[in-house]
Amino acid sequence: MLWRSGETGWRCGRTGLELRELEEFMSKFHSMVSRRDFMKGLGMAGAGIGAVAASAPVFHDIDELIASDTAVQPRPWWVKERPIDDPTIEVDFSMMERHDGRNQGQSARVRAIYYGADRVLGAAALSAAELAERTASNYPGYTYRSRALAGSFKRISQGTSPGWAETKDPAPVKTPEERGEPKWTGTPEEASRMLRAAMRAYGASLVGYTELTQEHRDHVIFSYEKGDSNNEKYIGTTIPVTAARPIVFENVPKAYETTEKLVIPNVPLWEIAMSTQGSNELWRSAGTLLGGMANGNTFYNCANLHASTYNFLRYLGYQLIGTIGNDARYVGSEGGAAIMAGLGEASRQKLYTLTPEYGAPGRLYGVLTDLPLEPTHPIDAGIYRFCHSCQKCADSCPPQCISKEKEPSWDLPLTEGKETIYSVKGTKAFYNNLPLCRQYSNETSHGCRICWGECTFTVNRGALVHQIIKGTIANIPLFNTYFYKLGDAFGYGTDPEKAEAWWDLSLPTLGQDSTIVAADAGYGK
Amino acid sequence: MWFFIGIIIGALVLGFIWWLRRKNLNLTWYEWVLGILGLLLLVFTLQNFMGSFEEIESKAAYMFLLITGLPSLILLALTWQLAARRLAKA
Repeated sequence: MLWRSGETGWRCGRTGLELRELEEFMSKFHSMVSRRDFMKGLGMAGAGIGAVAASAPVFHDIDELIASDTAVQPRPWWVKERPIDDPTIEVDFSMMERHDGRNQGQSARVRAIYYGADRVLGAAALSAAELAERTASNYPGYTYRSRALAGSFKRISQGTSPGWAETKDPAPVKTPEERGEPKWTGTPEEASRMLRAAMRAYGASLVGYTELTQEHRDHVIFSYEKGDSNNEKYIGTTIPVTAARPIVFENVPKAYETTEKLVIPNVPLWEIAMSTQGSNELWRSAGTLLGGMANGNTFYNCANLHASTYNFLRYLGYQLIGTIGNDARYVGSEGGAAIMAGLGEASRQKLYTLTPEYGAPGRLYGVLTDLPLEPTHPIDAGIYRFCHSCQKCADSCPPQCISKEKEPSWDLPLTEGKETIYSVKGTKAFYNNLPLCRQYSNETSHGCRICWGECTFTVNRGALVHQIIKGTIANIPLFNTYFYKLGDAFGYGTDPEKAEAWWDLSLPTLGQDSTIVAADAGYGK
Repeated sequence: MWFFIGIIIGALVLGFIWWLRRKNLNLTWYEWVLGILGLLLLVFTLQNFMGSFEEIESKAAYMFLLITGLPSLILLALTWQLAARRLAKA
């Protein structure tokens, strides 16, 4: 069904009915119970109850309820909303500086600061040696078929075509100006629901929004793009501005880029935070080649998601700034955007943001737009609080780079006795040694990522107990340590043998359960 | 599947109540409480046992038999013994 804005108002494309006509038509099928009829029918017309009913939102049918402003994204019942800009991880914008996107744990230059150029450059040889050794011993997840599967997994790369504010390949759609019609207008609530529906159709799973406030501009947006700064050729050198450009704000109406800067316009902007899914079964094979494929699996549709979202906004007459799925041009920390927009909560592991629906698996992205959107609220599902008690990821981390502190801290710890330059200040967080994480990953043939598969929240939906435990975690923190130990005792997590058992499973397309966030049409379970 | 399991359990409970009435037998309130708790725990165990196998988590499945399945059987056996001994005395 397609809604078009016509001369006489909104029109349904498939039936050709006016919205008003369609409401009358649909009312024959939906239960249109007025407040009075409802109260009369129940025989509960007491003054007190009536007063409550009069002040409460009234939904004429379930469609209206689901489409209400309070249900921008239907979430599990145990997920509570928090005030805007007040997530469960404490944030102090006054401590936070615009992070330099060139300084991150993945960067060879940054890793060399802490572990030396020799170790950084020697990682590939160690990885190759491990691959040879495991192949020779027919290690689970390194069998002929596993090597074929992981080695053959290809996806269309973002390449260089998606720029900072323009995506020229595939050929872009015409703007309203080019088509000769006015740009789309609607309320922020309508825009939010419309964009979420479109992005879900293009491959996003969870979608949320934040307003790009002055605080966000001054403290959250990266000061530099990552660009090509991860490249080993920059070890021990200064990165030229052409390899990683500064991100600047200018008094212009549209975003643009040159070879020396990326420009964000000083106009009202909103950040779109989104996630794509992962495959739990592949993540639980972490530590093998199939586990390595789990990471690529989350990127599988990013190029399409980016191009389609960019063109959708362009068709409506709005901008998309940044790139979905190409971290060379991220506007800021994707995890931060996801937490502020209520997609998930911070975690002990810090690299991943845990969502109530998926746990760790999946990928997060954040881009900017000038389409006015209704901000979604940060959430409290008890997840970050649970991470205070749980150390499953830290226990399972081979190089031990995940914090085992009992409480998070405002203070960045030193890394190998040196100043930590790769983490963002201004959050009360568990800080991890991210250069060591990446260095160890590069020294293996499988890319590690064991913590993703080990996370207590990386569970499926077959057993009812997961919903009960998640609901309890959200409301009663008393049992958190018990649940962490229980998860261990019950054997949830990674196992190399799972990489071979995987071949006999019948799993959803891409191994991703896309019905997790489906509330309508009978897909939700 | 759980729809049919619900129907079967409902029919069994209904049949049990009819059988009690036909035999003129009564259960005390605490026998009802223990029996219902045991039955709920047994259903919970079955769901998680089968659900865990669906999730390919066989260790978790067997742990459910131990952690919740065994207590459910103990509760049901306790109910049966309490009722049987009380009725034998009467």
